[in-house]
Amino acid sequence: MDHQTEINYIKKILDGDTNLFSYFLNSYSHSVFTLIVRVVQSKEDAEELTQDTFLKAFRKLDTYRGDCSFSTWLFRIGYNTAISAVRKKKIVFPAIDEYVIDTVADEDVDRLLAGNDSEELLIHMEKAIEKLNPDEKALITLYYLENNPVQELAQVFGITPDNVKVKLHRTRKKLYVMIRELTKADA
Amino acid sequence: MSSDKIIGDALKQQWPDELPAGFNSRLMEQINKDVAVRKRRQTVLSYLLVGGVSLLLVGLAGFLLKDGILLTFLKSVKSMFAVQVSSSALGFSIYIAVIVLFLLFMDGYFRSLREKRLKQDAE
Repeated sequence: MDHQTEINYIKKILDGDTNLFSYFLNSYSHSVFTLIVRVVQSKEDAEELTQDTFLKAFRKLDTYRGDCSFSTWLFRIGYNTAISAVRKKKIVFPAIDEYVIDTVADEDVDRLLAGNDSEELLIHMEKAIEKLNPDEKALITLYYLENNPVQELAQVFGITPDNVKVKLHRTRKKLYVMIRELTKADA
Repeated sequence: MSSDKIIGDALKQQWPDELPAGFNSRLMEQINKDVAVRKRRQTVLSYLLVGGVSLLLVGLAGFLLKDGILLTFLKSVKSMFAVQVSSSALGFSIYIAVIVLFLLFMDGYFRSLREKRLKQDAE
């Protein structure tokens, strides 16, 4: 369904035809859950937060201006809901020295990520992703799993497209450093 | 960057993507309940508002009548504009009551009209 049709649906919902909201639920609940579960790292919490996201979206539907796609708006609510939940838990994520990340060569990262799909690397990658902070998890989920373009990610996270690219670039390097450490530990 | 298949694969393996069966329908039920509660709250609030304003008007009328201020005022208005205004306290109270009842009736009428129209649109 295109953007204009979605806006028409929203107008009808605001006029009282609330059952039309099920269209948005059926279209986006899976994607919103995919994002939230990776940020909060708990299936039960993610289900509850997905529910909260849609309730918030429904209650604030009149504030949707239509200047971005409805999915982007929904992801923004989902992301903020998930981040707030993680902050409440006060989980500390491991930090990596910025200097170490800066010294990693892009070619080394490209070589590791593009040319190798071994089972060992996949397991290490899963472990490395778990150690990323919630912002980074959300970013790579929407980029690599949901295939959202950089422009839309900028709207979800409230930053510029250039900043999105920089964050993605740094997250790749961070993953590389963590995988390198995990490989060393195994050896 | 988009060719980093391994990141996508790891993300896919990490967590199940499936929501429990009936999640969407349960959420839709909750949304409908939310709408019903909101409607009920609005109705109660509007009745409270109308009731409050009515009480205020009746109270004001009682206060004015008690001190004879209203009668003096009505007499002066009558003399100034030579308009036929009832100076009876009972008449004034009836006048206020009729206005309040009329407003309540109109409120109910327009509400039912709006609900009928919404139902028709939904069908």
